[in-house]
Amino acid sequence: MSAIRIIGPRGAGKTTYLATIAYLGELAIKLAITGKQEHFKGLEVTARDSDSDSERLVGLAKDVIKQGEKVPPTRTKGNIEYHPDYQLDINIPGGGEKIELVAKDYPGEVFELLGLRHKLSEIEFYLDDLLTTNRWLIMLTDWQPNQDESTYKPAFKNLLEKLEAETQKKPELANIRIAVVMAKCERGELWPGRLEPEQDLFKIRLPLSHKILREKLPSSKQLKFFACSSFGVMGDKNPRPNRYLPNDGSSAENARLRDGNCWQPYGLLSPLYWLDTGKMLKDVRL
Amino acid sequence: MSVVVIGDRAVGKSSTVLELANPYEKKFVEIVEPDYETLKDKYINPDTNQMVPTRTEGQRSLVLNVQLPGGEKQINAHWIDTPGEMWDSPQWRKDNPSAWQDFKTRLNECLGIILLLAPYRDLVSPNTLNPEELLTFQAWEIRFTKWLDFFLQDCSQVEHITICLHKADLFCNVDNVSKEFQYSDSGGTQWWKINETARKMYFNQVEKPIKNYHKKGGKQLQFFITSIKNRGLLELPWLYLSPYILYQEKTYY
Repeated sequence: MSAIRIIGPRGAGKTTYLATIAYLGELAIKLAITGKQEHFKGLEVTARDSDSDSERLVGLAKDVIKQGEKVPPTRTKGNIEYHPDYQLDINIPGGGEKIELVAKDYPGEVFELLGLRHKLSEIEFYLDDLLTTNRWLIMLTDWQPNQDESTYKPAFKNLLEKLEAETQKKPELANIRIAVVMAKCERGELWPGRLEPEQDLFKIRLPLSHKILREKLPSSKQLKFFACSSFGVMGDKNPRPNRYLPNDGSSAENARLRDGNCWQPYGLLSPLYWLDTGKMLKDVRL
Repeated sequence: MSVVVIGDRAVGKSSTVLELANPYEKKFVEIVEPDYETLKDKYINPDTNQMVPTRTEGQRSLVLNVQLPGGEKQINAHWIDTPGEMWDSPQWRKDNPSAWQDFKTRLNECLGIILLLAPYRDLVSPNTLNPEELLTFQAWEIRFTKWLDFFLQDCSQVEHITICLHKADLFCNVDNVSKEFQYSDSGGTQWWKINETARKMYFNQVEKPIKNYHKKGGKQLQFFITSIKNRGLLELPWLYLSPYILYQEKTYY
């Protein structure tokens, strides 16, 4: 699989997403034992060659997320090499297909600075690295008012301009696939829209971002929209979000897993599978 | 990465660390380096069998064995020991401006803060020895609010702040109450539940300053009650901070 870059604003849940995927194999076994979520049966995730960074992700899932705590933010670093490449082998349930994931997540500041032309030099080495790959996963949330207009739209504008210019020099970028993912879709207002995310989530909740992305990349071979939830809902017959938000006036960014025993993530693998194969997973719940 | 234990004079900052090194009471956390005997030699006056007050600020490397849901892990941490005067004496800060500034700089390099608060007078049992040494609720509330202001103004880089109402044995039956705050190394501890329970039971009267603190953008606060007379309660803030110490991102210079 080509290397994937995961970008998105602060608090979108990029590292939580990766940590949950790293733990998904163990979680699938637990869910199979309890007879819940049959679609996870046969799912296996292994860290490649004892990749210590991916093992750190599993530790974060077990000792932090599952215990109802928040994953610490990824900090900007002085060199792109300091950000680990997480390497995971994922066996997809059902057809026996395998994803060989190599992914790097960027700090949220990188996406937020993308929209500020005078700050682009601060994230130059991240942009250079991003443009060495043609598989991007962009993770967004919509809980902050005006973010679509104030942060996302200018970020996409600059990013797509940069992509267009760079494609002249690097023809492989013409084959780009960008998966735009609405994270945290366990929230009651998003959950019903998860099945048609482009129509029912992005067009409605982030219309400016959707418009600029679709105008520049009209082909569904290059751009697709997804919905995912690292936490999921409490159960098949209980659509309450499995998330807890402290009632202390703190930000929605501080949500954490409510009950580790009901942990059933939704839609985490679908964007990765599409980025890898160009095809959609049959079961969008994966 | 460092953890700093802060709190007013004689609240018991050093004794909490000493007690966590006591191997006979271990549940899920044990300080193994320095060992218990070494720490006792440093902190206990052999003639009186009492703790020696900390007079100067100092940093110590600690090695802790911690039982986490993902297995037993060994954690290296630094513990910054501080004299109580640093916290409850504005005069000390005035007389030692560069030491205070230097400390604040180092504080912001810490991963976590454990703030120990003594209980207020009205909370403790009437049979408590010398209750007049404790603050009244009004004075305690003012002090509590000052701590929150300190976190907002001077600790903006610290990711994890824990607030412990210490000496819980003075205001509750710690063995009974500890059942509300049980940790499970097989998973299933929900820190947010422990936080919510502690807040509702013991910090309810200071909800307003806490909400104000969050309105001003303050970092998440995790509340506990602690006592050196109940090892389970005493270990909780360290169990809470341990995964963050263990899984912190690599630092590059």
